[in-house]
Amino acid sequence: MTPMNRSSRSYDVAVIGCGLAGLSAARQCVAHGLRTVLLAHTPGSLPYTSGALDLLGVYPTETKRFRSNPWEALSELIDREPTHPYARVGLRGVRAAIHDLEEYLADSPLQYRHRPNENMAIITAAGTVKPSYMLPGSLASNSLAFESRRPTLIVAIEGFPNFSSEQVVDNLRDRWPGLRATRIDLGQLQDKPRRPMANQLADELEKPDFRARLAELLRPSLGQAKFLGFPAILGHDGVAEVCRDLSARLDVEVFEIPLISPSLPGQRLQQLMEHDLRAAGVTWLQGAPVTRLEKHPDGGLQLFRKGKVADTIYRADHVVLATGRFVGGGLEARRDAGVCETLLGVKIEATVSRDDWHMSTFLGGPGHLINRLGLSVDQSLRPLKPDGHPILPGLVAAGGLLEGHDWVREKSGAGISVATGYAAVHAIVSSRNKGGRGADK
Amino acid sequence: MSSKKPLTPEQHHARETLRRLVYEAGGDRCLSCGACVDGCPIADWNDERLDPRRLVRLVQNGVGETVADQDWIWHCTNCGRCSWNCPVGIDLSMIIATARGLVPRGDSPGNIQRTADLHRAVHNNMQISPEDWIDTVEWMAEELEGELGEKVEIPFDKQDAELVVTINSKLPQYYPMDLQDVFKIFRAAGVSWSLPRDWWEGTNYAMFTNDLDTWEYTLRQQVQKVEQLRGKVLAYTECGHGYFATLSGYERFGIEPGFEVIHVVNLYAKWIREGRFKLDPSRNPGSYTLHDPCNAVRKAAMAGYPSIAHDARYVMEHVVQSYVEMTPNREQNYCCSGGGGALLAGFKHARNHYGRSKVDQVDRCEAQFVCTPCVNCFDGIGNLASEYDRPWRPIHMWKLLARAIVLDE
Ligand SMILES: Cc1cc2nc3c(=O)[nH]c(=O)nc-3n(C[C@H](O)[C@H](O)[C@H](O)COP(=O)(O)OP(=O)(O)OC[C@H]3O[C@@H](n4cnc5c(N)ncnc54)[C@H](O)[C@@H]3O)c2cc1C
Repeated sequence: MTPMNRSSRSYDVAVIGCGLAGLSAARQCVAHGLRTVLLAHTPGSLPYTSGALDLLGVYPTETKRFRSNPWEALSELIDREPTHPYARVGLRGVRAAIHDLEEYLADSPLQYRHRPNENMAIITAAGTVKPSYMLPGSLASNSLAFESRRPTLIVAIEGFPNFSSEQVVDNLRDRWPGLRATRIDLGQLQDKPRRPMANQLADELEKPDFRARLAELLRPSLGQAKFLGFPAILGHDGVAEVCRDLSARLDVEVFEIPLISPSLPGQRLQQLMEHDLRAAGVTWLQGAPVTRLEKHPDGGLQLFRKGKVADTIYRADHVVLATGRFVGGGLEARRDAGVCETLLGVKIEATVSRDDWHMSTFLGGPGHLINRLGLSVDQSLRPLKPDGHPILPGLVAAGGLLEGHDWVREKSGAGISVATGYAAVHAIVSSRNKGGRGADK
Repeated sequence: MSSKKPLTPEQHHARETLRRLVYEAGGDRCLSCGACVDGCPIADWNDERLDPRRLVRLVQNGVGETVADQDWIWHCTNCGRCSWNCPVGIDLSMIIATARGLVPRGDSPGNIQRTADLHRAVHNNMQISPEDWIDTVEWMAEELEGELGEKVEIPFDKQDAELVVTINSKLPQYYPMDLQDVFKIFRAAGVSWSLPRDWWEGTNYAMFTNDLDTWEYTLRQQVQKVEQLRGKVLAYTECGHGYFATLSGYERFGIEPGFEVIHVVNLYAKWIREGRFKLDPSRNPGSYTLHDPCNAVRKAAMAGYPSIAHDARYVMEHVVQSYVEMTPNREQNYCCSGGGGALLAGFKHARNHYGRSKVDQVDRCEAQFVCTPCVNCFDGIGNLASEYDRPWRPIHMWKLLARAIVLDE
């Protein structure tokens, strides 16, 4: 006997990855009463994201034009780009997926907001403006502030390296004359000053007495300000209360400005969804990678989760591959073999030679071709072999991993993951209804 | 101009070892994003900038041997939060653990190595003699007899029992009364169990100096003991690092024992599910929260070992009246401030600094008691409560369970 049981556990669905694609898929599994295990190696790219969920902000990408109505832009995209993940899912599917998430997040402690047919604009830590579709409460206020251009004070924290209020104001002053910058030293509010880091600052802000002292420190600098913008460090799951409390104390509307990394609004969203999925009965296994995925001898698929002693084997009728791109680990650029999908070892065929990757303009034009590389799938999101047949029965894929999109330029990252995660599970459900249970059909 | 001194063979070895390890741990994928340092509660200690990114860069830039000279590899409690938070999956705490092993044995700070040496020499790290061990256990059995009003036989070296039980040596040494709780639980569960006369120690500090010889030797001795007793399961006591050192040591040293290792918290939960106890949570009045020990939760999850996070909550639901979660929790939990051998390393100020995040999170949840299913965490939390003058107190899970168990007349 080995020291650990080589346990083989069986599920209806195994989701690989806990980025937005995996989380969305797992949510749909729960909604359909499927017994689900989620296996993830790392937090993936969510802790980097602004927490603002993009649907489609720019289209066509070459024009760099912000689109005020994301749905209108989406219809155009679906017509023109049949291999785009949005086109695979179809307009109705995307709408259903986004609507489902809207309802869920609006009622959540993060109080997400959106406007039915309109992108909102938020200001970023770089002092740029970015369109997005669904915003957590603290960023919805960011958008209101920018839209109103009313007198606003941006607060930076002494010693906190990730944010400069002066930079934000310098870059936006032309468009927003009533914008001012200030900088405060939180050390004087703490018994034992700590080097400011996002998570630790958020710990402090969760404390009412700390907020009371912070409010007094800021009060003299407020002037005419109607809005007060902070880097996104205003607490963890209590962010709504932190914003409400500070706003009430200072008679302004407090908002957050998303940071690049690590980004608390993205972490909050991930933690919220993890919490809810666990509570709904999803088996959550994070921290070690899946190293193999293949047919199970008795039907369905089997996955090997890397363990230090022995791999644990999980069996599932269906698997949702939501392993992300290069950051998430789903894609890898190998020196010898080019870009590959990492778990199945599928070589992603580049349609152009590497010589054509180089451009004469910096960050120029249509965007780098590598952005559009990804896993090929069919309308049911089944990964395909070069001969056009599904790679494994019972396997579907979702999220950034898929081919044919350029989420950075399109401003479509979250939307693609949410829509494909949703659709992947709907494809599973309809195949189950037709009697297909993975590889044993 | 700096004049370059040639490296000593040890330095050269350190440089090469770390270079290989950083590569294997995925270091070339580091984006310098800072998720590790942001997740670390000690990174700002003394403005030293214990920044895991620096660690990776020092090694990659070819000066890895300097890592072994830094005190911060000992200030770090090896809690693994940096590794957990890394979006590209670099196991940073493994790099620190290895760097510790590159420090010559005599030079490691405080008493960590001494504790490991004692474990090797006298088979437990508190220097408890075999006679004292038997005496203490029998004394506690008698006390328990007084409470239960019936004979309590201790199954010393019982053959063919289902469970062979380990005990953290701090119990017989500092908290002998707690042995009664432990014995009461095993009795009430109605399982056949065995308490070894020797090699019963349920800790393993050699892991924290990366002293591979001692680590392997002590594990093999214990395995031999359990196999002699023909136990089916080694029930690992409430000690996170001992549990982790055992499972990861088996893997590292290729030990394949003829029994399974199960953390007692997973056994408590199993027994409750099986209806083996009659429980009365009102015997634990007040409000309780749970501290997730890093080794038995976060690090176990990363290594693919059974974690106690789920079962510990299941037990709490059944043994206390009022339970609240502290956040962050489970695999995101902050260390008790005593991990990685920190309670023995001597850097008290660093440890207390580290503990601020813990203190904050316990304060926020407003519990009166912090259940710590790990003897080391119990001491870590207890130390924080006194250093920061807080009203909350740590409590072992066995205490809560033993109190809640209603024995029929
Ligand atoms: C820096 C940055 C900023 C962004 N900002 C925004 C933003 O502001 N708004 C927006 O809408 N979108 C943003 N995005 C995009 C977006 O959130 C995600 O990139 C996109 O949704 C892809 O998500 P995903 O779930 O497909 O992959 P990821 O989030 O990358 O998740 C991949 C998951 O798969 C896991 N995984 C991979 N391989 C394995 C394996 N073998 N075994 C087990 N698990 C595995 C990973 O550990 C991870 O959990 C941003 C992305 C980045 C990188």
